[in-house]
Amino acid sequence: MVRDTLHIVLVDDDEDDRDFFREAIEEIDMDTTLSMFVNGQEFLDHITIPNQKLPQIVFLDLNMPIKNGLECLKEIKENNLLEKLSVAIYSTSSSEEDIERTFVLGANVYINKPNSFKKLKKAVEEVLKVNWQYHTSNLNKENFLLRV
Amino acid sequence: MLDFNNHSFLNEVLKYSEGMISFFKPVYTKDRITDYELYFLSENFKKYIHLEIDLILHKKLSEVFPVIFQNGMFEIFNSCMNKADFEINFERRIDFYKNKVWFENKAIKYNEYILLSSKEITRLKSAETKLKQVLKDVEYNNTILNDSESISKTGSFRWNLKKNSWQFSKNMIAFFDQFQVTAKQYNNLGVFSLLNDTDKEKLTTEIENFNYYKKIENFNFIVINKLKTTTYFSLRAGFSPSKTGPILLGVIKDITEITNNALLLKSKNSELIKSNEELASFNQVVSHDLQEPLRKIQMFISRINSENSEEKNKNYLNKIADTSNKMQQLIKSILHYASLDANEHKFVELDLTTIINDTIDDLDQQIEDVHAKVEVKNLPFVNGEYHLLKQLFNNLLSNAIKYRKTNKDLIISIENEYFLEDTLNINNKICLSSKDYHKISINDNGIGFEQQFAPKIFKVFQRLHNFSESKGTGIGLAIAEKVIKIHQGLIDVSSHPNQGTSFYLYLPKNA
Repeated sequence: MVRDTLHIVLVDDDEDDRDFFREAIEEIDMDTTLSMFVNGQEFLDHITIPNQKLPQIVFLDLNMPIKNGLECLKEIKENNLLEKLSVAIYSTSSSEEDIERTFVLGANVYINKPNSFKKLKKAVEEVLKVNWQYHTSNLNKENFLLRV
Repeated sequence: MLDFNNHSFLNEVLKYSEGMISFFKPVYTKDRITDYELYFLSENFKKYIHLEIDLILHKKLSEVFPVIFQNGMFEIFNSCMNKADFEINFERRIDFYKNKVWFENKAIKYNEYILLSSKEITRLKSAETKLKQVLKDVEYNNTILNDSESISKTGSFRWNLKKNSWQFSKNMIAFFDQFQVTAKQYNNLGVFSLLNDTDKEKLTTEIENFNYYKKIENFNFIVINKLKTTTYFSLRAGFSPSKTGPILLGVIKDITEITNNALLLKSKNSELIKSNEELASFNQVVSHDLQEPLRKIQMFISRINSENSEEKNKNYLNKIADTSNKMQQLIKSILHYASLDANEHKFVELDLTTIINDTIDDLDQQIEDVHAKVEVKNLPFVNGEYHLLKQLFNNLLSNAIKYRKTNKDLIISIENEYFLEDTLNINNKICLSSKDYHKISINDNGIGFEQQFAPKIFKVFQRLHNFSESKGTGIGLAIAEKVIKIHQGLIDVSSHPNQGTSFYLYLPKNA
């Protein structure tokens, strides 16, 4: 089966984390393009340019300066043009509150930033393989938090 | 010898009068009077005795009314017998079976007899008893009122509006005395003599719009004495009709303690909210900011392997060292921030110019490196703790250096600004006046930020700018705010992107 190129976005303020993520994507055997932004505001400024090509999935860090992930997620879901965008939360925080709030706001999956590169690769791979367009229908809180 | 039985005329007359007449004839044993014989009883006694008078006539009083030997009447009769024209008035209660009757009597010696004229006064007497009881009750109630007024810190008054006559409770007078209101003043102006002009006007309006069904409630006013201490009062009053027009009945209550407690509670509550917020941000620190470097170190470790070039592995090791250094700094500054609250602070008078010059000395190298210029203009003396204030300016200057424009020389100016009144919108709106506060501004021409982020910047671990090298721990301004708070002051910020930032420090004068 031939699949189109998968457009991925990472929004994360931490340079090291962006490097790890880029390296992980490079090692996954899939046809992908990756764009990276350092905070929610930069991403929103970019994505709301008219006729902008939308990515299939956004990996969104929560704790960022200027516009944090939660505010960014809210704005994505409030924007009619962006509401179909799949959002994967990608955060160090494992607090129930953050998981609950992002779930309620309509994020598709929650990934705890892993502590090894191997786990990171596995997590990213798993998320990319899901066809989120169809997956949304049986979205529930039990499988919201991705376990690797 | 008088023959009264034939004086039917007398009886006839007495029948229609309230007066009753009786005669008593002394009975002698040797030379002493030992008893009296009931010699005559007017017919109108009959309604009390319930007997034919003839049946008891000429009997000895010791037989028919032995009570006279106990109630002093025997002695009264004797006294009258000893002296001519000696008249004794007395009141006695005589019990006719269960019927208790009060008489007003007049005893006098008439020939060799005692003439007793009597009149019933039972109703008068019981009215008198009732009156006495009422007076007693009033007295009790007054005592209770006075006591309860002083316990509850209240005072009451009555005001006849038409006659402008005032009556005050004891404690109300005590209130007047407390505020050196003279009797002349309070007798003329009453409760108004405690009010300032605005409150006087307000109360007058309330009174002008009065009706008998409406009460004046929750009318609060303050009285400031010569020592400038404030006493809070609450007034409650209602109108009552009287023959001479409406009367205002009112109570004032000293609510200073309640008010002060409420104010204290409010300030304790906001401290509590603040400390809860801090707790939440510490929670955030532990769950995120302290986890983050650890996780990254683990990630770097997972990237090190024998297949990599030596250079690549060395690079990872360097990153591990960097990250753990950063974590150590973070822990240090968290501990420092937390210790600010715990320590006791001793304030002395300090010259801000000296503090800032010392701060500039400390930051000498950094200032030189970026070619920054710091201008300091006539700063005041304040009460404070040297090290805390130096830390505050150190953090603000470091911030200005950190967020400078790279294409322009940094200029920082620190000055004492004149202001009349400023309204700050920090937690709630707070109005400060130049009478009580110094306003020190620290202005830079750095990169600035959108004013909408102003509330965020004093929070622990909030950074607005992306610096991959991450120069700050995100705690500097939180420390600055805490230092200002320890000095009973406030900190505010205004900023424009690409133009620069001004921090305003409000420090109390003579605090």
